[in-house]
Amino acid sequence: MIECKQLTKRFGEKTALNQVDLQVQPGSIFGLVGSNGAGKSTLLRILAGVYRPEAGEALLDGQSPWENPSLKARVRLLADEFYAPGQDSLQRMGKTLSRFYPGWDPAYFERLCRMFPVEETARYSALSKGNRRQAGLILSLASRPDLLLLDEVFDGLDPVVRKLVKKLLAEEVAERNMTVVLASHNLREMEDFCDTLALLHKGGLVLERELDQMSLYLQRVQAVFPPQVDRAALAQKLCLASWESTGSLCTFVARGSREEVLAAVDSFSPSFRETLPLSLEEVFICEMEASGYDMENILG
Amino acid sequence: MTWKTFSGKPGGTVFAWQFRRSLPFTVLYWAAMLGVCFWPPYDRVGDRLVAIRGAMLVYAFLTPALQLGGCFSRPQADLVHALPVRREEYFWATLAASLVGLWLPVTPSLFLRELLCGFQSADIFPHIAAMLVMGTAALIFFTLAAVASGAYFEYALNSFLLTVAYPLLMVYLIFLAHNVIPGLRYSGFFDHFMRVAGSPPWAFAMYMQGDGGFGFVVVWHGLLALGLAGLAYRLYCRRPSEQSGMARRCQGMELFLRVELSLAAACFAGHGMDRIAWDFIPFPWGVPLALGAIILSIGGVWLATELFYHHSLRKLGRHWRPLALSLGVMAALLGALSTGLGLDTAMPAAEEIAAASMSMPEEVDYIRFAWSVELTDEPEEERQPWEERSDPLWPALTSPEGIEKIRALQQKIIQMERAIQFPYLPGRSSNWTEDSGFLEYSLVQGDDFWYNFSIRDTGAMPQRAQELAGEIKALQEEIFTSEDFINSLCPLNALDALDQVEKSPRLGAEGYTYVWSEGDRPRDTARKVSGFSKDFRQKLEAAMRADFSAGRFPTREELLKDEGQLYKLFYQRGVEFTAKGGAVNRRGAFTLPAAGQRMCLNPDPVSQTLLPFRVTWEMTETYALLEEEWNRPQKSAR
Repeated sequence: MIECKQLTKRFGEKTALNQVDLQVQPGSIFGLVGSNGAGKSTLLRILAGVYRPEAGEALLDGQSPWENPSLKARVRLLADEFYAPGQDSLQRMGKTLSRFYPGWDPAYFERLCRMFPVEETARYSALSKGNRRQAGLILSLASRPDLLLLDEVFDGLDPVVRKLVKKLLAEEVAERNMTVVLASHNLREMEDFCDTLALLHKGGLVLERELDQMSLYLQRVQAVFPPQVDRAALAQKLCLASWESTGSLCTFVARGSREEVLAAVDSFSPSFRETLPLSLEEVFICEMEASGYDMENILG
Repeated sequence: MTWKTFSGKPGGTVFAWQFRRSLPFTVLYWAAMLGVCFWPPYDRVGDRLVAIRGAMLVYAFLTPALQLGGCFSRPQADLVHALPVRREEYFWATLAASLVGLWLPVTPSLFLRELLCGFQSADIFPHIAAMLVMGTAALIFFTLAAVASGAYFEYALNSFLLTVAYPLLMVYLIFLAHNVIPGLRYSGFFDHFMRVAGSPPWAFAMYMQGDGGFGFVVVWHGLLALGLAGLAYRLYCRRPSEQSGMARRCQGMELFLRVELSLAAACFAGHGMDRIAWDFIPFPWGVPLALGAIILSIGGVWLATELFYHHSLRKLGRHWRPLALSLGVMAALLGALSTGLGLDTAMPAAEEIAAASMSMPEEVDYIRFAWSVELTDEPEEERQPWEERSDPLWPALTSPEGIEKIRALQQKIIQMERAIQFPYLPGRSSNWTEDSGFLEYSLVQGDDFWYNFSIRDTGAMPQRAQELAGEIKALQEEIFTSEDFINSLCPLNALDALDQVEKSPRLGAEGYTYVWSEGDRPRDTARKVSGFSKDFRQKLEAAMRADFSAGRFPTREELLKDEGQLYKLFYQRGVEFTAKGGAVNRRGAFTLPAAGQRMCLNPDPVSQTLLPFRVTWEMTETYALLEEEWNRPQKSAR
């Protein structure tokens, strides 16, 4: 289990992470979202033992990863910009990394090399951006880590490979109980993939929820009310997160279970009403606005 | 431990990985090392050696940039620092891989070079060891610069600043010490130590195999390598990974460079102002000016480096440490120098001294030169080859009374210096208009001890200092004109070897220079002494004694004139004579009183000439005697 307690990291005068408290359950896929500079990559690097926190602690199974080779042997970080020596091929890098990571699975490496469209004998410097990222993924997965830290992993991948990556990650989680922490600024990528999502903003943890719970208590409703019913009247019975109206058609998001919200709406005798699905992004925006954040600035 | 076991460990894996990573570059270096053994085609004074060292130096500079790329690039840092390897293991394994690459071609290259040069050096193995140690120090030095940098350009800049600021600091610190401490003079060891210690590690490329104290060079570089490696290791282990790819983030390096540059500038300014004060500023104003220049230069460097590291002066107050540290270290240095460090009062005990001498006023100094002799009492079979016989006979006092007089002179000079200004401060030599000189002690154990001095009696000096200056001049005069000293002057001492006399026109500066550079040989007009009157030598000795004891020496001013004539006395090589005084250095190892020893003159081993002694009209009695003999009809002309 990953546990961050009051985790703080500063770069000179800038605070990249400010007293972050976080828990990630083993065998889950944890999504970290936030705008550029929110502290996502910093958090991943602390978990990988690359950075050392100034205050607080980040623990993996109760141990700090900093200068802890036995723990780091079970963790792989695939940073947003994967580096490999230019003259090395994927095969050569695999050979090198196999000596560092005891969990290295040569058969799985071979299998992955066949699955991804990357030439395993080509020099790394000759690979395209997308192929480099795939090479990094192959090397990370073949290490069979217990914890895989992925930073903007889907950037530069085509939809087919993206789907393949998601499938492979899901398999590893299901079969080996691997934990995945995924950082991205793209909420839509996480929507159908993560178990839990956390939003970081300016180094602080704004929100952390399980995906299932997130949309259960938010309902988007479209309805046509009698003319005397306005927003103020509705707000007396409903906890409104957002409100829009076009002519007589009102669209709003309200908090509560579907049944509770619809019962409240029906009490105003609408001539038409229906519930609509909410995207993850909308759920986030509602939650954030409810927390008093200016979402236009946060999500950019 | 087998290679398989070693390479299976994390450190071994890093070693193998790093070695392989830089292998293409390393192979180029190996090829260059072997290639430069053939170039240049003709090995002049170790040209190939310099080329070999140059190749080592390039490798030592580029390898840390390649293998410690994690210090300069964030993606590399992400990969390297996420590996399940302790930083200390990673650092040592990387350094080991670099060193192995550096070392491997050294021995074959040097052997190849020796082979091509016909195995001229007998000490190839110590030399290989020296090359390895010095190359190691250079590589570790650059490793430290890399560890303290966050970007490639900063690595190059730090390497440059460290290599420039350090020798500047050492050189100007030495200059400042010489300005401040009276009597300080380079000794052979001190000179060599400062040359080696004052050079950055990469300067090994300039050392030649035949340089004296090569062992010291190796020991120094060995210790330096260990110290720098320890420092680089600590810095690497504590280095935050987030510094990678970001320049000017290493606070330790910033502080070190700012202080080092400040101190170098302060020593330069202190020395410069002292020299300006020497010529233009009346005593005692040189002291506050020199101290002011030191403080201003420290402040100036602080401001300039603040702009470089922080791009503005807004947070100047928060970055006070470099200023405080520079001022503190400089104050400590000046405080130490101001005591004289015991160097101003250093004087050998009387029983340690075999011979003592002193410089004469500049105009007559050449009369004090040592002449090369050969002791003839030594059995022929024990003598060195003729070309190597170069024991110098030099004017010195060897009697206990004479030695005590020189020591008394030094005591008075020390008292004078302290009366002028103490504790010693930079700028104290302002308006130093008098002549400088030195005392020389030849010690029983074979070493020499030198003491520099300058006599100042200008009006601005304190009264006590002026009185002492007068006493010093009187004592100098007394020593010059003492019989012991006069006997030791070589023209008189070797008078029995006088062979020819020549009356020749004075050639002015041209002739004067010619004498010093190439010697002088008698022309056809020179006359054999055997043609002069029978008691000529006795009369000449008496006349010389009379002139010397009255302080009449040929002066430079006269020698430089290009009108009129002078007499040149030519002494003959191989003619035996008995020395009247002075001291002789036996094979450079120890000093003996020369009086009573049988010897003959040898030409100077370098110029292969004997210098004539020039007599001007200033030596009135000698000149008159020579005129008389020259104009007398000769028994047999040459």
